Amino acid sequence: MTASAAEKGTWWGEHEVDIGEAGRFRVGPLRTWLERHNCEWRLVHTRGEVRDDPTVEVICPYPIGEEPPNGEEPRPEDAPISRMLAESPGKKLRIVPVLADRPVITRPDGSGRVLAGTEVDLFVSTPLWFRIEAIPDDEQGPRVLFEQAIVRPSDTWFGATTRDGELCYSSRTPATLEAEELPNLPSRAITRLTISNPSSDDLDLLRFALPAPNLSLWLDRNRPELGLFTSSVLLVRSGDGETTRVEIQHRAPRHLGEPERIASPRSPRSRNVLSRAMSAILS
Amino acid sequence: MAFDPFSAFENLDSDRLRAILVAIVIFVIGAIIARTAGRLVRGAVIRRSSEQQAMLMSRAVYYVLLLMVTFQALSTAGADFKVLLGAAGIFTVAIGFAAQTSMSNLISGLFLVAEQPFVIGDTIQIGTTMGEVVSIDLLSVKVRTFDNLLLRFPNEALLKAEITNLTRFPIRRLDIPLGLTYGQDPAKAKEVLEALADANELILDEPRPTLFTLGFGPSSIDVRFSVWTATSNFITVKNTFLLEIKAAFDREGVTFPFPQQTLSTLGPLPVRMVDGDGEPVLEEPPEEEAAQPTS
Repeated sequence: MTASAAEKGTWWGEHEVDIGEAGRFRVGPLRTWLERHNCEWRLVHTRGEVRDDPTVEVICPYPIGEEPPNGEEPRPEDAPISRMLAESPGKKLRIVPVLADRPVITRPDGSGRVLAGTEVDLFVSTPLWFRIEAIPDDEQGPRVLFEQAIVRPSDTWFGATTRDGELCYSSRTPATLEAEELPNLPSRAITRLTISNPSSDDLDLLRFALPAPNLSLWLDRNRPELGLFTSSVLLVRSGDGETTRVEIQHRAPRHLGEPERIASPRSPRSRNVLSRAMSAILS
Repeated sequence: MAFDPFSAFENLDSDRLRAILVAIVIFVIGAIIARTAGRLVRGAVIRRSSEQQAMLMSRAVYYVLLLMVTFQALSTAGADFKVLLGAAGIFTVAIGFAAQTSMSNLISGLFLVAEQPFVIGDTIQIGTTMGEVVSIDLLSVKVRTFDNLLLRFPNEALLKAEITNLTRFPIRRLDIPLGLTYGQDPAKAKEVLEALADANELILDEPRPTLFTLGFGPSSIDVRFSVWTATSNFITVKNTFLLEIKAAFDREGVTFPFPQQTLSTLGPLPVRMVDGDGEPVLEEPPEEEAAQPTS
Protein backbone atom coordinates (compact mmCIF):
# COMPACT_ATOMS: atom_id res chain seq x y z
CA MET A 1 0.00 0.00 0.00
CA THR A 2 1.38 3.37 -0.81
CA ALA A 3 0.20 6.88 -1.16
CA SER A 4 -2.96 6.04 -3.13
CA ALA A 5 -4.60 4.38 -0.20
CA ALA A 6 -3.34 7.13 2.02
CA GLU A 7 -4.99 9.69 -0.25
CA LYS A 8 -8.33 8.10 0.65
CA GLY A 9 -7.39 8.33 4.33
CA THR A 10 -7.25 4.53 4.70
CA TRP A 11 -3.97 3.90 6.45
CA TRP A 12 -4.70 0.29 7.42
CA GLY A 13 -4.08 -2.88 5.45
CA GLU A 14 -1.51 -5.62 4.83
CA HIS A 15 2.08 -5.32 3.64
CA GLU A 16 4.91 -7.69 2.87
CA VAL A 17 8.27 -6.61 4.24
CA ASP A 18 11.33 -8.72 3.45
CA ILE A 19 14.54 -8.84 5.48
CA GLY A 20 16.41 -5.62 4.83
CA GLU A 21 13.27 -3.60 4.12
CA ALA A 22 11.51 -0.93 6.13
CA GLY A 23 8.18 0.87 6.34
CA ARG A 24 7.09 4.28 7.49
CA PHE A 25 3.62 5.16 8.68
CA ARG A 26 2.36 8.60 9.53
CA VAL A 27 -1.15 8.81 10.91
CA GLY A 28 -2.01 12.20 12.31
CA PRO A 29 0.67 13.18 14.82
CA LEU A 30 1.89 9.58 15.27
CA ARG A 31 4.91 8.58 13.19
CA THR A 32 6.18 5.01 13.17
CA TRP A 33 9.20 3.51 11.45
CA LEU A 34 9.79 -0.21 11.33
CA GLU A 35 12.58 -2.33 9.91
CA ARG A 36 12.79 -6.03 9.32
CA HIS A 37 16.10 -7.70 10.16
CA ASN A 38 16.96 -11.36 10.48
CA CYS A 39 14.72 -12.80 13.25
CA GLU A 40 13.64 -9.39 14.51
CA TRP A 41 11.55 -6.32 13.89
CA ARG A 42 12.78 -2.91 15.01
CA LEU A 43 10.36 -0.10 15.72
CA VAL A 44 10.70 3.58 16.45
CA HIS A 45 7.83 5.96 17.04
CA THR A 46 7.41 9.66 17.77
CA ARG A 47 4.40 11.82 18.29
CA GLY A 48 4.04 15.36 16.97
CA GLU A 49 2.61 18.31 18.84
CA VAL A 50 -0.41 19.02 16.60
CA ARG A 51 -3.26 16.85 17.88
CA ASP A 52 -5.57 17.59 14.94
CA ASP A 53 -2.96 16.73 12.32
CA PRO A 54 -4.89 15.29 9.33
CA THR A 55 -1.82 13.87 7.59
CA VAL A 56 -1.84 10.25 6.45
CA GLU A 57 1.25 8.81 4.79
CA VAL A 58 2.11 5.17 4.24
CA ILE A 59 5.39 4.23 2.57
CA CYS A 60 6.05 0.52 2.70
CA PRO A 61 8.25 -1.25 1.82
CA TYR A 62 11.53 0.45 0.97
CA PRO A 63 15.15 -0.71 1.48
CA ILE A 64 16.69 -0.06 4.90
CA GLY A 65 19.26 2.69 4.81
CA GLU A 66 17.62 4.59 1.99
CA GLU A 67 15.47 7.57 2.70
CA PRO A 68 11.81 6.74 2.05
CA PRO A 69 10.73 7.79 -1.45
CA ASN A 70 9.17 11.24 -1.28
CA GLY A 71 9.84 11.08 2.40
CA GLU A 72 10.31 14.34 4.20
CA GLU A 73 11.20 13.08 7.60
CA PRO A 74 14.00 10.60 8.24
CA ARG A 75 13.90 8.30 11.23
CA PRO A 76 15.13 10.19 14.30
CA GLU A 77 18.49 8.85 15.39
CA ASP A 78 18.02 9.47 19.11
CA ALA A 79 14.57 7.92 19.49
CA PRO A 80 14.49 4.65 21.49
CA ILE A 81 14.28 1.48 19.40
CA SER A 82 11.97 -1.39 20.30
CA ARG A 83 13.19 -4.78 19.16
CA MET A 84 10.78 -7.68 18.64
CA LEU A 85 12.67 -10.94 18.44
CA ALA A 86 11.25 -14.14 17.00
CA GLU A 87 12.62 -17.26 15.36
CA SER A 88 10.51 -16.89 12.23
CA PRO A 89 8.71 -13.58 12.40
CA GLY A 90 7.33 -13.85 8.86
CA LYS A 91 7.20 -11.03 6.35
CA LYS A 92 3.51 -10.19 6.45
CA LEU A 93 2.40 -7.19 8.43
CA ARG A 94 -1.07 -5.97 9.16
CA ILE A 95 -1.77 -2.37 10.13
CA VAL A 96 -5.02 -2.26 12.09
CA PRO A 97 -7.02 0.56 13.63
CA VAL A 98 -8.45 -0.33 17.03
CA LEU A 99 -10.55 1.50 19.55
CA ALA A 100 -9.58 2.41 23.10
CA ASP A 101 -8.86 -0.31 25.66
CA ARG A 102 -11.05 1.44 28.25
CA PRO A 103 -14.45 3.15 28.06
CA VAL A 104 -14.24 6.70 26.75
CA ILE A 105 -16.04 9.41 28.69
CA THR A 106 -17.28 11.59 25.90
CA ARG A 107 -18.17 15.22 26.51
CA PRO A 108 -20.05 16.90 23.68
CA ASP A 109 -18.90 20.43 23.01
CA GLY A 110 -21.49 22.84 24.32
CA SER A 111 -24.47 21.72 26.33
CA GLY A 112 -27.48 19.95 24.91
CA ARG A 113 -30.78 18.65 26.11
CA VAL A 114 -32.83 15.74 24.83
CA LEU A 115 -36.44 16.67 25.33
CA ALA A 116 -38.81 14.41 27.21
CA GLY A 117 -40.48 11.70 25.18
CA THR A 118 -38.11 12.02 22.21
CA GLU A 119 -35.36 10.08 20.55
CA VAL A 120 -32.43 11.68 18.76
CA ASP A 121 -29.48 10.44 16.66
CA LEU A 122 -26.15 12.15 17.23
CA PHE A 123 -22.73 11.59 15.73
CA VAL A 124 -19.69 11.85 17.99
CA SER A 125 -16.05 10.97 17.44
CA THR A 126 -13.81 8.78 19.55
CA PRO A 127 -10.01 8.26 19.59
CA LEU A 128 -8.31 5.52 17.56
CA TRP A 129 -5.29 3.41 18.31
CA PHE A 130 -2.65 2.34 15.76
CA ARG A 131 -1.63 -1.31 15.87
CA ILE A 132 0.95 -3.31 13.91
CA GLU A 133 0.51 -7.08 13.81
CA ALA A 134 3.01 -9.59 12.47
CA ILE A 135 1.53 -12.63 10.73
CA PRO A 136 3.99 -15.50 11.21
CA ASP A 137 4.76 -17.98 8.44
CA ASP A 138 3.70 -20.94 10.58
CA GLU A 139 0.05 -19.85 10.36
CA GLN A 140 -0.28 -19.18 14.03
CA GLY A 141 -2.32 -16.24 15.15
CA PRO A 142 -1.08 -12.69 14.55
CA ARG A 143 1.29 -11.18 17.11
CA VAL A 144 0.99 -7.58 18.15
CA LEU A 145 4.28 -5.78 17.57
CA PHE A 146 3.20 -2.27 18.40
CA GLU A 147 0.13 -0.45 19.64
CA GLN A 148 -0.21 3.22 20.54
CA ALA A 149 -2.97 5.78 20.73
CA ILE A 150 -2.67 8.06 17.71
CA VAL A 151 -3.50 10.95 20.05
CA ARG A 152 -3.23 9.85 23.67
CA PRO A 153 -6.41 10.93 25.46
CA SER A 154 -6.35 12.03 29.07
CA ASP A 155 -7.16 9.62 31.87
CA THR A 156 -10.33 10.17 33.82
CA TRP A 157 -12.44 8.47 36.47
CA PHE A 158 -16.01 7.40 36.02
CA GLY A 159 -17.90 6.47 39.16
CA ALA A 160 -20.21 7.69 41.89
CA THR A 161 -17.32 7.86 44.39
CA THR A 162 -13.54 7.78 44.26
CA ARG A 163 -13.63 4.24 45.65
CA ASP A 164 -15.99 2.55 43.23
CA GLY A 165 -15.74 3.23 39.57
CA GLU A 166 -13.62 2.67 36.55
CA LEU A 167 -10.55 4.26 35.03
CA CYS A 168 -11.50 5.60 31.60
CA TYR A 169 -10.27 7.95 28.91
CA SER A 170 -11.67 11.41 28.42
CA SER A 171 -12.61 12.85 25.05
CA ARG A 172 -14.24 16.05 23.87
CA THR A 173 -16.15 15.98 20.61
CA PRO A 174 -18.73 17.95 18.73
CA ALA A 175 -22.07 16.14 18.76
CA THR A 176 -23.58 16.66 15.33
CA LEU A 177 -26.73 15.54 13.59
CA GLU A 178 -24.84 14.53 10.44
CA ALA A 179 -21.64 12.49 10.23
CA GLU A 180 -20.25 14.81 7.55
CA GLU A 181 -20.28 17.72 10.00
CA LEU A 182 -17.62 16.13 12.18
CA PRO A 183 -13.97 16.98 11.49
CA ASN A 184 -12.47 14.24 9.31
CA LEU A 185 -9.39 13.13 11.22
CA PRO A 186 -7.45 9.87 10.81
CA SER A 187 -7.05 9.71 14.58
CA ARG A 188 -10.76 9.37 15.31
CA ALA A 189 -13.72 7.16 14.43
CA ILE A 190 -17.36 8.22 14.30
CA THR A 191 -20.08 6.72 16.47
CA ARG A 192 -23.77 7.02 15.76
CA LEU A 193 -25.37 7.48 19.17
CA THR A 194 -29.12 7.12 19.55
CA ILE A 195 -30.47 8.61 22.77
CA SER A 196 -33.98 7.66 23.73
CA ASN A 197 -35.64 9.64 26.52
CA PRO A 198 -39.12 8.22 27.17
CA SER A 199 -39.28 9.78 30.63
CA SER A 200 -41.24 12.91 31.46
CA ASP A 201 -38.11 14.99 32.16
CA ASP A 202 -35.69 16.54 29.74
CA LEU A 203 -32.24 14.99 29.72
CA ASP A 204 -29.15 17.19 30.02
CA LEU A 205 -26.48 15.74 27.84
CA LEU A 206 -23.22 16.58 29.62
CA ARG A 207 -21.20 13.40 29.27
CA PHE A 208 -21.62 9.69 28.67
CA ALA A 209 -19.47 6.57 28.81
CA LEU A 210 -18.88 5.08 25.37
CA PRO A 211 -18.05 1.35 25.70
CA ALA A 212 -15.18 1.56 23.21
CA PRO A 213 -13.63 -1.90 23.92
CA ASN A 214 -16.91 -3.51 22.93
CA LEU A 215 -17.38 -1.79 19.57
CA SER A 216 -16.38 -2.91 16.08
CA LEU A 217 -14.92 -0.65 13.40
CA TRP A 218 -16.59 -0.32 10.01
CA LEU A 219 -15.84 1.39 6.73
CA ASP A 220 -18.34 2.51 4.11
CA ARG A 221 -16.78 1.32 0.84
CA ASN A 222 -18.97 3.80 -1.03
CA ARG A 223 -17.60 6.72 0.97
CA PRO A 224 -14.19 5.83 2.42
CA GLU A 225 -13.34 9.51 2.72
CA LEU A 226 -15.67 9.76 5.73
CA GLY A 227 -13.33 7.53 7.70
CA LEU A 228 -14.13 4.79 10.14
CA PHE A 229 -17.39 4.23 11.97
CA THR A 230 -17.89 2.26 15.15
CA SER A 231 -20.84 0.05 15.93
CA SER A 232 -23.88 2.15 16.72
CA VAL A 233 -24.81 2.64 20.36
CA LEU A 234 -28.28 3.03 21.81
CA LEU A 235 -28.80 4.72 25.18
CA VAL A 236 -32.30 4.19 26.53
CA ARG A 237 -33.29 6.09 29.62
CA SER A 238 -35.81 4.33 31.83
CA GLY A 239 -39.26 5.75 32.27
CA ASP A 240 -38.54 6.89 35.82
CA GLY A 241 -35.31 8.50 34.72
CA GLU A 242 -33.16 6.59 37.22
CA THR A 243 -31.24 4.17 35.03
CA THR A 244 -29.97 3.90 31.51
CA ARG A 245 -29.64 0.83 29.36
CA VAL A 246 -26.73 0.76 26.94
CA GLU A 247 -27.24 -1.37 23.85
CA ILE A 248 -24.56 -1.98 21.25
CA GLN A 249 -25.75 -2.65 17.71
CA HIS A 250 -23.25 -5.31 16.70
CA ARG A 251 -24.46 -5.47 13.10
CA ALA A 252 -23.19 -2.92 10.59
CA PRO A 253 -24.41 0.64 11.15
CA ARG A 254 -27.51 1.03 9.02
CA HIS A 255 -26.51 4.39 7.57
CA LEU A 256 -23.48 2.86 5.79
CA GLY A 257 -24.14 2.09 2.13
CA GLU A 258 -21.65 -0.75 1.68
CA PRO A 259 -20.27 -1.65 5.08
CA GLU A 260 -17.01 -3.55 5.59
CA ARG A 261 -15.86 -4.64 9.04
CA ILE A 262 -12.30 -3.41 9.59
CA ALA A 263 -11.76 -4.49 13.21
CA SER A 264 -13.59 -6.61 15.76
CA PRO A 265 -14.18 -5.48 19.34
CA ARG A 266 -11.31 -5.81 21.78
CA SER A 267 -13.64 -7.57 24.23
CA PRO A 268 -17.02 -8.73 23.04
CA ARG A 269 -19.80 -8.41 25.60
CA SER A 270 -23.47 -9.24 25.81
CA ARG A 271 -25.89 -7.20 23.75
CA ASN A 272 -27.63 -5.39 26.58
CA VAL A 273 -25.52 -3.85 29.27
CA LEU A 274 -27.27 -2.55 32.37
CA SER A 275 -25.47 0.62 33.26
CA ARG A 276 -25.18 2.57 36.47
CA ALA A 277 -27.59 5.12 37.83
CA MET A 278 -28.49 7.99 35.57
CA SER A 279 -26.74 10.55 37.74
CA ALA A 280 -23.43 8.82 37.16
CA ILE A 281 -23.80 8.55 33.41
CA LEU A 282 -25.76 11.40 31.99
CA SER A 283 -25.36 14.19 34.51
CA MET B 1 30.80 -48.09 83.43
CA ALA B 2 31.52 -46.69 80.01
CA PHE B 3 28.70 -44.88 78.22
CA ASP B 4 27.38 -46.90 75.33
CA PRO B 5 25.36 -44.70 72.96
CA PHE B 6 23.84 -47.72 71.36
CA SER B 7 22.58 -49.24 74.59
CA ALA B 8 19.08 -47.82 74.07
CA PHE B 9 18.73 -49.76 70.86
CA GLU B 10 19.65 -53.11 72.42
CA ASN B 11 16.20 -53.26 73.98
CA LEU B 12 14.50 -52.69 70.66
CA ASP B 13 13.48 -55.75 68.77
CA SER B 14 13.73 -55.80 65.02
CA ASP B 15 9.97 -55.31 64.56
CA ARG B 16 9.96 -52.15 66.62
CA LEU B 17 13.02 -50.83 64.83
CA ARG B 18 11.42 -51.61 61.51
CA ALA B 19 8.26 -49.79 62.60
CA ILE B 20 10.24 -46.69 63.58
CA LEU B 21 12.12 -46.69 60.30
CA VAL B 22 8.86 -47.08 58.37
CA ALA B 23 7.37 -44.19 60.37
CA ILE B 24 10.33 -41.97 59.48
CA VAL B 25 9.98 -42.88 55.81
CA ILE B 26 6.23 -42.21 55.96
CA PHE B 27 6.85 -38.82 57.56
CA VAL B 28 9.51 -37.78 55.05
CA ILE B 29 7.49 -38.88 52.02
CA GLY B 30 4.35 -37.41 53.50
CA ALA B 31 6.07 -34.09 54.13
CA ILE B 32 7.25 -33.98 50.52
CA ILE B 33 3.74 -34.79 49.31
CA ALA B 34 2.27 -32.12 51.60
CA ARG B 35 4.67 -29.49 50.28
CA THR B 36 4.01 -30.48 46.67
CA ALA B 37 0.26 -30.42 47.24
CA GLY B 38 0.56 -26.96 48.76
CA ARG B 39 2.42 -25.69 45.70
CA LEU B 40 -0.10 -27.26 43.31
CA VAL B 41 -2.99 -25.67 45.21
CA ARG B 42 -1.25 -22.30 45.15
CA GLY B 43 -0.69 -22.56 41.39
CA ALA B 44 -4.31 -23.52 40.79
CA VAL B 45 -5.83 -20.85 43.07
CA ILE B 46 -3.62 -17.96 41.97
CA ARG B 47 -4.99 -18.20 38.42
CA ARG B 48 -8.51 -17.63 39.73
CA SER B 49 -7.95 -15.49 42.80
CA SER B 50 -5.55 -13.17 44.58
CA GLU B 51 -2.05 -14.07 45.73
CA GLN B 52 -3.09 -13.79 49.36
CA GLN B 53 -5.89 -16.30 49.03
CA ALA B 54 -3.60 -18.63 47.11
CA MET B 55 -1.04 -18.42 49.90
CA LEU B 56 -3.64 -19.09 52.60
CA MET B 57 -5.11 -22.07 50.75
CA SER B 58 -1.69 -23.58 50.04
CA ARG B 59 -0.62 -23.25 53.66
CA ALA B 60 -3.88 -24.70 54.93
CA VAL B 61 -3.48 -27.72 52.66
CA TYR B 62 0.16 -28.12 53.66
CA TYR B 63 -0.43 -28.00 57.40
CA VAL B 64 -3.48 -30.27 57.31
CA LEU B 65 -1.63 -32.89 55.27
CA LEU B 66 1.45 -32.56 57.48
CA LEU B 67 -0.67 -33.11 60.59
CA MET B 68 -2.27 -36.20 59.06
CA VAL B 69 1.12 -37.55 58.04
CA THR B 70 2.52 -36.90 61.51
CA PHE B 71 -0.32 -38.79 63.18
CA GLN B 72 0.05 -41.64 60.72
CA ALA B 73 3.80 -41.81 61.30
CA LEU B 74 3.35 -41.81 65.07
CA SER B 75 0.69 -44.46 64.78
CA THR B 76 2.95 -46.61 62.63
CA ALA B 77 5.78 -46.15 65.12
CA GLY B 78 3.47 -47.55 67.79
CA ALA B 79 2.81 -44.35 69.74
CA ASP B 80 0.05 -44.60 72.25
CA PHE B 81 -2.28 -41.66 71.62
CA LYS B 82 -4.00 -42.05 74.97
CA VAL B 83 -0.70 -41.32 76.68
CA LEU B 84 -0.03 -38.45 74.32
CA LEU B 85 -3.44 -36.91 74.87
CA GLY B 86 -3.03 -37.28 78.59
CA ALA B 87 0.33 -35.59 78.51
CA ALA B 88 -1.08 -32.88 76.27
CA GLY B 89 -3.67 -32.07 78.84
CA ILE B 90 -0.99 -31.57 81.48
CA PHE B 91 1.21 -29.46 79.25
CA THR B 92 -1.65 -27.33 77.94
CA VAL B 93 -1.68 -25.11 80.99
CA ALA B 94 2.09 -24.63 80.90
CA ILE B 95 2.11 -24.08 77.16
CA GLY B 96 -0.83 -21.72 77.44
CA PHE B 97 1.14 -19.39 79.67
CA ALA B 98 4.29 -19.68 77.60
CA ALA B 99 2.50 -19.22 74.26
CA GLN B 100 0.39 -16.21 75.16
CA THR B 101 2.18 -13.93 72.75
CA SER B 102 2.17 -16.51 69.98
CA MET B 103 -1.54 -17.21 70.45
CA SER B 104 -2.29 -13.51 70.48
CA ASN B 105 -0.36 -13.08 67.25
CA LEU B 106 -2.11 -16.09 65.73
CA ILE B 107 -5.57 -14.83 66.60
CA SER B 108 -4.67 -11.30 65.51
CA GLY B 109 -3.52 -12.78 62.21
CA LEU B 110 -6.91 -14.42 61.73
CA PHE B 111 -8.62 -11.08 62.33
CA LEU B 112 -6.28 -9.39 59.86
CA VAL B 113 -7.05 -12.03 57.25
CA ALA B 114 -10.78 -11.68 57.80
CA GLU B 115 -10.79 -7.87 57.86
CA GLN B 116 -8.26 -7.46 55.01
CA PRO B 117 -6.99 -3.96 55.69
CA PHE B 118 -4.31 -4.92 53.16
CA VAL B 119 -3.39 -7.82 50.92
CA ILE B 120 -0.10 -9.13 49.56
CA GLY B 121 1.28 -6.61 47.08
CA ASP B 122 -0.25 -3.55 48.74
CA THR B 123 1.96 -0.65 49.77
CA ILE B 124 1.27 0.26 53.38
CA GLN B 125 2.57 2.79 55.87
CA ILE B 126 2.87 1.99 59.56
CA GLY B 127 4.17 4.95 61.50
CA THR B 128 7.12 6.21 59.51
CA THR B 129 7.72 2.90 57.76
CA MET B 130 6.49 2.40 54.23
CA GLY B 131 6.82 -0.73 52.15
CA GLU B 132 5.24 -3.51 50.15
CA VAL B 133 3.48 -6.41 51.89
CA VAL B 134 5.30 -9.58 50.82
CA SER B 135 3.62 -12.14 53.07
CA ILE B 136 0.93 -12.44 55.71
CA ASP B 137 1.94 -15.31 57.97
CA LEU B 138 0.48 -16.98 61.04
CA LEU B 139 2.33 -14.81 63.53
CA SER B 140 3.58 -11.83 61.59
CA VAL B 141 3.42 -9.76 58.43
CA LYS B 142 6.56 -9.25 56.37
CA VAL B 143 7.04 -5.92 54.63
CA ARG B 144 9.77 -5.04 52.14
CA THR B 145 10.83 -1.41 52.30
CA PHE B 146 11.71 0.45 49.13
CA ASP B 147 15.40 0.35 50.04
CA ASN B 148 15.04 -3.44 50.12
CA LEU B 149 14.98 -4.14 53.81
CA LEU B 150 12.71 -6.80 55.26
CA LEU B 151 10.62 -5.77 58.24
CA ARG B 152 8.64 -8.15 60.41
CA PHE B 153 5.58 -6.83 62.20
CA PRO B 154 3.89 -9.07 64.79
CA ASN B 155 0.20 -9.45 63.94
CA GLU B 156 -0.78 -8.32 67.40
CA ALA B 157 1.04 -5.01 66.92
CA LEU B 158 -0.57 -4.50 63.53
CA LEU B 159 -4.05 -5.06 64.89
CA LYS B 160 -3.51 -2.16 67.27
CA ALA B 161 -1.60 0.08 64.86
CA GLU B 162 -2.83 2.74 62.48
CA ILE B 163 -2.14 1.37 59.01
CA THR B 164 -2.36 3.45 55.86
CA ASN B 165 -2.94 1.44 52.70
CA LEU B 166 -1.58 3.53 49.86
CA THR B 167 -2.68 1.25 47.03
CA ARG B 168 -6.16 0.08 48.06
CA PHE B 169 -8.08 2.33 45.66
CA PRO B 170 -7.45 2.72 41.91
CA ILE B 171 -7.03 6.51 42.02
CA ARG B 172 -5.22 8.79 44.40
CA ARG B 173 -4.98 12.53 44.98
CA LEU B 174 -1.70 14.43 44.83
CA ASP B 175 -1.64 17.59 46.95
CA ILE B 176 0.90 20.20 45.93
CA PRO B 177 1.46 23.01 48.44
CA LEU B 178 2.45 26.26 46.78
CA GLY B 179 3.03 29.84 47.75
CA LEU B 180 2.05 32.85 45.64
CA THR B 181 3.72 36.19 46.16
CA TYR B 182 1.41 38.92 47.43
CA GLY B 183 2.01 40.85 44.24
CA GLN B 184 1.00 37.89 42.06
CA ASP B 185 -2.43 37.69 40.45
CA PRO B 186 -3.90 34.47 41.93
CA ALA B 187 -6.27 34.13 38.97
CA LYS B 188 -3.34 33.92 36.56
CA ALA B 189 -1.58 31.31 38.68
CA LYS B 190 -4.82 29.29 38.78
CA GLU B 191 -5.14 29.52 35.00
CA VAL B 192 -1.58 28.34 34.48
CA LEU B 193 -1.98 25.41 36.88
CA GLU B 194 -5.28 24.25 35.41
CA ALA B 195 -3.94 24.42 31.85
CA LEU B 196 -0.91 22.43 32.92
CA ALA B 197 -3.08 19.76 34.55
CA ASP B 198 -5.32 19.55 31.46
CA ALA B 199 -2.29 19.05 29.23
CA ASN B 200 -0.94 16.20 31.38
CA GLU B 201 -2.53 12.98 30.16
CA LEU B 202 -1.85 11.11 33.38
CA ILE B 203 -3.79 13.62 35.49
CA LEU B 204 -7.46 12.73 35.59
CA ASP B 205 -10.02 15.06 34.02
CA GLU B 206 -12.48 13.86 36.65
CA PRO B 207 -12.34 14.50 39.60
CA ARG B 208 -11.31 17.97 38.49
CA PRO B 209 -8.02 19.49 39.65
CA THR B 210 -8.76 22.04 42.39
CA LEU B 211 -6.92 25.02 43.83
CA PHE B 212 -7.56 25.62 47.52
CA THR B 213 -6.53 28.82 49.26
CA LEU B 214 -5.18 27.86 52.66
CA GLY B 215 -4.37 31.21 54.17
CA PHE B 216 -2.14 34.25 54.25
CA GLY B 217 1.39 33.36 55.25
CA PRO B 218 4.12 35.76 56.37
CA SER B 219 5.68 35.84 52.89
CA SER B 220 3.06 34.41 50.56
CA ILE B 221 -0.52 33.42 49.93
CA ASP B 222 -0.54 29.72 50.75
CA VAL B 223 -2.48 27.56 48.36
CA ARG B 224 -2.79 23.86 47.63
CA PHE B 225 -3.25 22.49 44.13
CA SER B 226 -4.83 19.02 44.20
CA VAL B 227 -4.86 16.70 41.21
CA TRP B 228 -6.00 13.10 40.86
CA THR B 229 -4.19 10.33 39.07
CA ALA B 230 -4.28 6.55 38.76
CA THR B 231 -2.55 5.01 41.78
CA SER B 232 -0.14 3.22 39.45
CA ASN B 233 0.94 6.58 37.98
CA PHE B 234 1.22 8.43 41.30
CA ILE B 235 5.01 8.38 41.57
CA THR B 236 5.47 9.34 37.92
CA VAL B 237 3.08 12.29 38.22
CA LYS B 238 4.62 13.41 41.50
CA ASN B 239 8.12 13.37 40.03
CA THR B 240 7.27 15.12 36.79
CA PHE B 241 4.38 17.46 37.51
CA LEU B 242 6.17 19.57 40.11
CA LEU B 243 8.95 20.28 37.64
CA GLU B 244 6.37 21.09 34.98
CA ILE B 245 4.85 23.64 37.36
CA LYS B 246 8.24 25.25 37.90
CA ALA B 247 8.86 25.47 34.14
CA ALA B 248 5.38 26.83 33.45
CA PHE B 249 5.65 29.47 36.19
CA ASP B 250 9.01 30.59 34.82
CA ARG B 251 7.55 30.77 31.32
CA GLU B 252 4.41 32.67 32.33
CA GLY B 253 6.13 35.03 34.73
CA VAL B 254 4.50 33.64 37.87
CA THR B 255 6.97 34.17 40.67
CA PHE B 256 7.71 31.95 43.62
CA PRO B 257 7.81 33.74 46.97
CA PHE B 258 10.90 34.06 49.08
CA PRO B 259 10.86 34.73 52.81
CA GLN B 260 10.63 38.47 53.34
CA GLN B 261 10.98 40.62 56.42
CA THR B 262 9.99 44.27 56.82
CA LEU B 263 12.19 46.15 59.32
CA SER B 264 10.84 49.25 61.07
CA THR B 265 13.12 51.40 63.29
CA LEU B 266 12.20 53.98 65.93
CA GLY B 267 14.69 56.51 64.57
CA PRO B 268 17.18 57.05 61.78
CA LEU B 269 19.39 54.10 61.23
CA PRO B 270 23.07 54.95 60.98
CA VAL B 271 24.65 53.55 57.85
CA ARG B 272 28.40 53.23 57.20
CA MET B 273 29.71 52.51 53.75
CA VAL B 274 32.77 50.33 53.44
CA ASP B 275 34.76 49.06 50.49
CA GLY B 276 35.59 45.48 49.64
CA ASP B 277 38.34 45.37 52.26
CA GLY B 278 36.05 46.67 54.97
CA GLU B 279 37.67 50.10 54.99
CA PRO B 280 35.23 52.96 55.43
CA VAL B 281 34.47 54.90 52.30
CA LEU B 282 34.28 58.61 52.92
CA GLU B 283 31.94 60.40 50.58
CA GLU B 284 32.83 63.94 49.60
CA PRO B 285 30.01 66.31 50.53
CA PRO B 286 28.32 68.19 47.68
CA GLU B 287 29.96 71.50 46.72
CA GLU B 288 27.10 73.60 48.19
CA GLU B 289 27.47 72.04 51.58
CA ALA B 290 31.24 72.37 51.50
CA ALA B 291 30.96 76.09 50.80
CA GLN B 292 28.55 76.78 53.65
CA PRO B 293 30.06 77.44 57.05
CA THR B 294 29.19 74.91 59.70
CA SER B 295 27.39 76.16 62.72
